[in-house]
Amino acid sequence: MSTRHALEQLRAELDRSGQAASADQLRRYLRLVRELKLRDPENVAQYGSQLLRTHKAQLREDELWLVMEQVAMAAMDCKATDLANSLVFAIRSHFPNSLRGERLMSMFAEFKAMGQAAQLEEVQGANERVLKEHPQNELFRKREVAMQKSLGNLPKAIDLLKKYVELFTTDNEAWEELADLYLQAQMYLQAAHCYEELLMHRPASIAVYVQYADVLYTMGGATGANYRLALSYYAAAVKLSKGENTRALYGVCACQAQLNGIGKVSGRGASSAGTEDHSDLASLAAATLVQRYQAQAPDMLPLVEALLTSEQLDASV
Amino acid sequence: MVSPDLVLDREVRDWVLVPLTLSIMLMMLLRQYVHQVFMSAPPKSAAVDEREAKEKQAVSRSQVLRTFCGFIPDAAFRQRRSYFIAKDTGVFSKKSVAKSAQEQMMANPDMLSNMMKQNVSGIVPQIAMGTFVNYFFSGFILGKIPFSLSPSFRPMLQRGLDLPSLDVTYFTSLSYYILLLFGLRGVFTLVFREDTIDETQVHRQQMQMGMGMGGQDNQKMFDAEKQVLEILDHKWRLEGIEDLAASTLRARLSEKQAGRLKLE
Repeated sequence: MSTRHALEQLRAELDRSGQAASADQLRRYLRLVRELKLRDPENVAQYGSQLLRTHKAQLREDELWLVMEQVAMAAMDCKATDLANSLVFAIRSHFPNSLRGERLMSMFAEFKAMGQAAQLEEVQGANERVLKEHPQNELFRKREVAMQKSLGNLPKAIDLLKKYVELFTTDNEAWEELADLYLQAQMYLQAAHCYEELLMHRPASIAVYVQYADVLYTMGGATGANYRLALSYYAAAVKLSKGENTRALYGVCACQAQLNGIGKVSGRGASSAGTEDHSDLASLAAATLVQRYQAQAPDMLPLVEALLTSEQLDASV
Repeated sequence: MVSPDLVLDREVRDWVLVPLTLSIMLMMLLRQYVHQVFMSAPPKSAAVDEREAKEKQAVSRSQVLRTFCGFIPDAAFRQRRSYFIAKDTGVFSKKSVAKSAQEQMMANPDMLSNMMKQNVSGIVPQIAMGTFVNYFFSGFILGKIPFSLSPSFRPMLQRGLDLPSLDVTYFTSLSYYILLLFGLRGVFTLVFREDTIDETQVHRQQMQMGMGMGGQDNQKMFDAEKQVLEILDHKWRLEGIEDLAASTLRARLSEKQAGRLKLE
């Protein structure tokens, strides 16, 4: 997080110095964005083009092309066609045989197609040709998935990405993307599988716990097993975030409400529905929610209280 | 006992020192270019077989599973385990398609010839040059080093000359040749930058190749992973997390309440 803080500082500095920003500042900013893999197209395009315009001679060969690629992508992102155009072609003419250059070209072609299906198909055909020659190239495989996604061809995208993660099983981001695609296709079981994979790769990430629990909760079921599991994972997120994660708190409440309902339907008390009773956790979560809303958004408080009452949770701990 | 200085003939300088230095430099240049020609052919073995890559990934995936299985529910763990070790369909129950090192060698004569080429381009010129120098320039004394040495340096400095009574500080042409052979690399680095042949690196690479090929026996790794997975006991780490979370929240709530009381 300290690097992110440094980034904020640098951005503030750059804002202050404007056009007079030194080459060193600009370079540091761009490098940080690259390292953190952030998507900050407006700033990158602005500062990057500034750097390339005024301090090009100060950049060393290896850094120069990295910056150019970065700025070209950012320019595409914020639809600065002219800037992107000049940079992409400069890179392409300098590295005529590079696959990375080719990918940039295909991204540029995709950008120019502007979501028109016919032209996108053309780009995709070109991509497939490249992939035939280099079946192991990660970058192009990912592009392919992105392209299918932007074409709206969800099953194809899922299929391609599935093949990709089979080959690159440790690629976290790919698993995350695949989970997202499965969610869009409403294939919750498969999405849960992806999140389990992510849990093993990033066991300290609160977001993964919450997302996995979300999927489990969505799957639901009459036996309540999924709700109990979801409750555990929401609880883990609560524990890891020390109660700061609002979504996890809501999740705990919702799961408990579902479990209570199931307990009632099956004619037993809430306490015997599961192996253990965690209703104290739910009411604690509800109390925490109320407290947080009181402190940070008092005008929303009635809504929260109404919801909690409808879930029949007692927030007065 | 101080022996009087030897007087060296000028002809020795003109006909031994200068030609020897020149021929060594030319030979090294030649070697550099030969090496570049051989290396410029791109190694074709870079294209890894997809199935082989998958098998390697399977192993690393099962390692991840073994280490972090505590974070996923029991059912999920059992499903994954059976994916790896189920009796007939499990990944590790099938025979590995990756070939062992020897089979690879047999299947790919290119690899052998590549290694041969590397060795030939390194060793043959050295042998040829050694013979050449030995034949034409042996037995000359080329100079004297300006400090005294113990007699044990004799075999190093006076190679090709068997004169026990000669002072050790004189060095012969053959020793000079060996010195140049290893000492000139620095000079060549200045000219060719990173492309200079680095003897030590070449050797290290060969060593690594040998070791790497021995170590990558997928079938063995499969069997080992399978065994470990079979006896692995899954323990869900989130057992009882609800109580922990409850106590966290309780602590947080009471803390806030205490803070508010203080404020009031």
